[in-house]
Amino acid sequence: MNKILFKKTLRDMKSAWAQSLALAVIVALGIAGLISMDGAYRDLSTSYNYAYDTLHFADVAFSVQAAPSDVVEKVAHLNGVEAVTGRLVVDTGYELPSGEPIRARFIGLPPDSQPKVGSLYIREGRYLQPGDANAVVLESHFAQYYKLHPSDKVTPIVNGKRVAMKIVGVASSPEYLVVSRSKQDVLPSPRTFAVLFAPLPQVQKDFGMKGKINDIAVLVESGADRGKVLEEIRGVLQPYGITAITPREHQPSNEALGLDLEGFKETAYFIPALMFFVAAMAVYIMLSRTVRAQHPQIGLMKALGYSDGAVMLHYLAYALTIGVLGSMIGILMGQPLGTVITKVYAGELGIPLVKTRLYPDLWLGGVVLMLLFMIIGSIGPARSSAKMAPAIAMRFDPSAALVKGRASIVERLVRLPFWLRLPVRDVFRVRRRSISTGLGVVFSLVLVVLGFAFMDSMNYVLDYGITSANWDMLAQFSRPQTEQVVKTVASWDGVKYVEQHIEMPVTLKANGKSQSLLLYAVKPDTKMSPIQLVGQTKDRHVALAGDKIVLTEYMAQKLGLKEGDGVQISTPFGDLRLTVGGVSREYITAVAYVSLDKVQKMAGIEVFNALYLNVAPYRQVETKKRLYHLPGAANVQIREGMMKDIKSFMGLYDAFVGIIFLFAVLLAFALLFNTMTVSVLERQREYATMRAIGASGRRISWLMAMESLILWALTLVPGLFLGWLVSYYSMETFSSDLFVFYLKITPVSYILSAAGILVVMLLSALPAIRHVNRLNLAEAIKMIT
Amino acid sequence: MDEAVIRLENVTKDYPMGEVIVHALRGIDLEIASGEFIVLLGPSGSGKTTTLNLMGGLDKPTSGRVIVQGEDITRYKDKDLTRYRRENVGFVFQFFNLIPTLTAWENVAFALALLDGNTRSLEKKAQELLEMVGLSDRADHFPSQLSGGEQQRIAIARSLANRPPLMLCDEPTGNLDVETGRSVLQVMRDLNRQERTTMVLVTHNTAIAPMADRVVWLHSGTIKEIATNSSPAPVSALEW
Repeated sequence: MNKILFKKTLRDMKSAWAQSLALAVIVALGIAGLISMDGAYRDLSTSYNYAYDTLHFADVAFSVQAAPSDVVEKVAHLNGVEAVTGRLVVDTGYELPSGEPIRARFIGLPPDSQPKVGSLYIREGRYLQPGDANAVVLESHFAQYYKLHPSDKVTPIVNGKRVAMKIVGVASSPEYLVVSRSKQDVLPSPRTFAVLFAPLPQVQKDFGMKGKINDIAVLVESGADRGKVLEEIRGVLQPYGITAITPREHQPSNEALGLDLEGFKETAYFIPALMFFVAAMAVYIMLSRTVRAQHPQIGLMKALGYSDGAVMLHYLAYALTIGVLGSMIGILMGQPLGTVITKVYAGELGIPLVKTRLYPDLWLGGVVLMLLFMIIGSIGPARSSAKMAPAIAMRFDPSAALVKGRASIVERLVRLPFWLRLPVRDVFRVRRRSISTGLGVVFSLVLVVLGFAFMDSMNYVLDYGITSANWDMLAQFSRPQTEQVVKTVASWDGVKYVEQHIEMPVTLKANGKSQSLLLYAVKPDTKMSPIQLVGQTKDRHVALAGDKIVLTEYMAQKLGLKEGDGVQISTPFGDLRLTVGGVSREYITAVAYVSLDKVQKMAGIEVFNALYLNVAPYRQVETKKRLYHLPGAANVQIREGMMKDIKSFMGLYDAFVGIIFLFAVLLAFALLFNTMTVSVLERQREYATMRAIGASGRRISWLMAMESLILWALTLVPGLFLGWLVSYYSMETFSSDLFVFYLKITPVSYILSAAGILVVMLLSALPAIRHVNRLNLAEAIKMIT
Repeated sequence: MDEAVIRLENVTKDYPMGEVIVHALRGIDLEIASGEFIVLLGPSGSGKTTTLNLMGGLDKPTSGRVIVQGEDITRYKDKDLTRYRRENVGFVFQFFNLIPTLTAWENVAFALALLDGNTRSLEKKAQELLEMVGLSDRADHFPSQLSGGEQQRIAIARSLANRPPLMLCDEPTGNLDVETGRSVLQVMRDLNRQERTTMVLVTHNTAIAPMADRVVWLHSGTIKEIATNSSPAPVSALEW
């Protein structure tokens, strides 16, 4: 490109520095969004793997009923086995200082040295030592939640008694990066679950399993035939009663992290993509105005012999230069922001080893992509500049050419007061300007509504969780319970209502797809279950009658199922063929419901393994204690506490949404500043003339404000609707097999979005108004811009 | 000569142009009487538009005084200058400077409405002014639907909204063909003669000079010569 022409490009940018800066800010935010979010996604992914590698996270864990400790040696000698650690894992209770019982898990580990598989990352204190008695290394999430440190005491239940044990260290484990007890623990919380790493001999002694282990964690050699190795291990362990084989990909903590990361990844692409689109639109608005204002210059360039291509390149260069400058700022902003996001996210999750890197490929990819969007945005105006005939271009009066046609429709319908006519005309008769400014307003609305949508939808999930189910307490049992237990519990003081049900993991097969679910077998007249039927069938009795199953809306959609379709489920009692009887709207997606009778008939006995309870608030802690004393009681939860757990689980999401919201508002401001100032500045001569013939600065400010108000009113409905639509699709990207986010935007949010945008419109017009009011009138009335 | 409506006293005007100071006016003294028709002539850069802008309160001098009807407008603040322009001056520009989104009568009414908060009678008053410039039949047309001459006549009608004692016209025929230019000048002459409006017209077109009562020749920011026409020529006699 001609040097002089490029110099003109730079001078044009300098003369419209505020607009160029706003555009560069939009570009920078887009690039910063991509680099920070995608970079954080990569960093988190790397950090997880780094933690797994460093801490020798098991490729597979075998649970057995009980095996002699020396079985480890046998497994270690098998071909393809890299390392093995034998552990004794025992679930027990724990009594908090308040007296509230929660769950705890002892994991017996070799006291002499860190385990070869599933090592601990010591954050405070030390690892176990052979002479340690009544000593534990406490898992870090629980320690952090209750502010426990080495030398403090923990109080697990051992053989029915509360025993004080000394904390010698606080550690992270690759198996408990998310402290999940099992796959069914959909809302893991360190508040209600402690993991205690203790010397293996101590755990064996305390729980009467001297010389025994029940968990064998294995690392498979890389390159070994994994299936074959597992078969051989299975052969060795078969005599000891294998109860579960958990490969790494199905390990609860790893699976939860994977789903979380997947959601993060989708957002890391969706939000920046939206920002890139806004950048393309902003450059279109800016450049189409610039080209129009520079018609005489274009005519001159062409008259002097510059080719169409050179003229076009001149305007493309404008967009690309801003694209490059904005991208540089974006990289400088995005890289540290990404590191902060990674560290905050990893810190919140308790990831012990965090690796952050620079991603030059991401910078380059981002910049190239942004430049592509800039070209898309600028190609139209740049081409129109090249197509102009020089003589026509030089004669062109931009402000006059904008106006064509007759009086606006509004005016033909309503006789407007005189002072309203000008702003109305400006909006309706200068359509190109109004449309491009209006597009800016619409997209700003979209961005802000999107920000609100994320916040409202999250609040909705929490409220829904609170309001959709009616139970106050939930008790889960590790072995079947009979009707007698219901009667016993119902007779306790403060207990108002008890309802039994069954919870069990099942695999659902349909349409050639397979899905792990938690199946709830409930009474068709259940008063407690959160079933909210939203399909054709609204009656729970009908939806759960006979061979019917109720799926969640998300799962039905994912599996391509509708009411009346057949499915097969594999349960611990055998396989069942069922028909979809209804769909329920729930934010936890991997659940399904059948009637309690159906499962009890299949099992051949009237048993259950879980209870819903309504309990007077003042008796809830006491009831929890009593429930834990029932034989086989595995877990008791108070719903209020659960909701607290959800909220803390979602705390990170709030921070994330906060960042999205901030980006949205900044983008909206930059976009509106640009469109509003360009819109005002291209009418400098018009405003200067008004000033010259005696209109006061206040009068002109009023006219501009009225025009903004009219434009705002016109763009409100399309902007809010598009905001809703974009939010709807973005919620889908946030949903996973774990949670589904239903779009909720409150009327207050719509009002705040609309009012906020109006304020921003007026604020962003202020610099332009100040500029117009300070114009050198003698010069401005002559200018053709 | 009638009492002076405008008096310029040793007026200078310097413009910074990058690192250079341009001396647009180098100390001019001029008196214009009420009802006079003055033509300011001179080559580009001679200072004629600057002089006009100072008289109209669009700009302030670097030194000297601009006295209009006994008031030193160089001491006015922006707010006072706005009022001064609104109440005392009618402007006509080379590029018409009509508001493209307003019709002919609305452009005129825009100026009327600045003076009178009562907008009910605007249409009638605007129509009267359009009649004065012979364009009452084009009242509902937008500027883009009018010829250059028609647009300039609308601009004149607008400038008359405040019945100004002073009309300042900057190259009003500069963008018009001869015939249209003549019709615009005729309107100005009529206003000057019938309404006794003081008229100051800036042009580089010497052919217009014969219609003035006095011709002020400017050169390099100074008044080179002031010529008085004892019998100004009729507009129809002008040729260029």
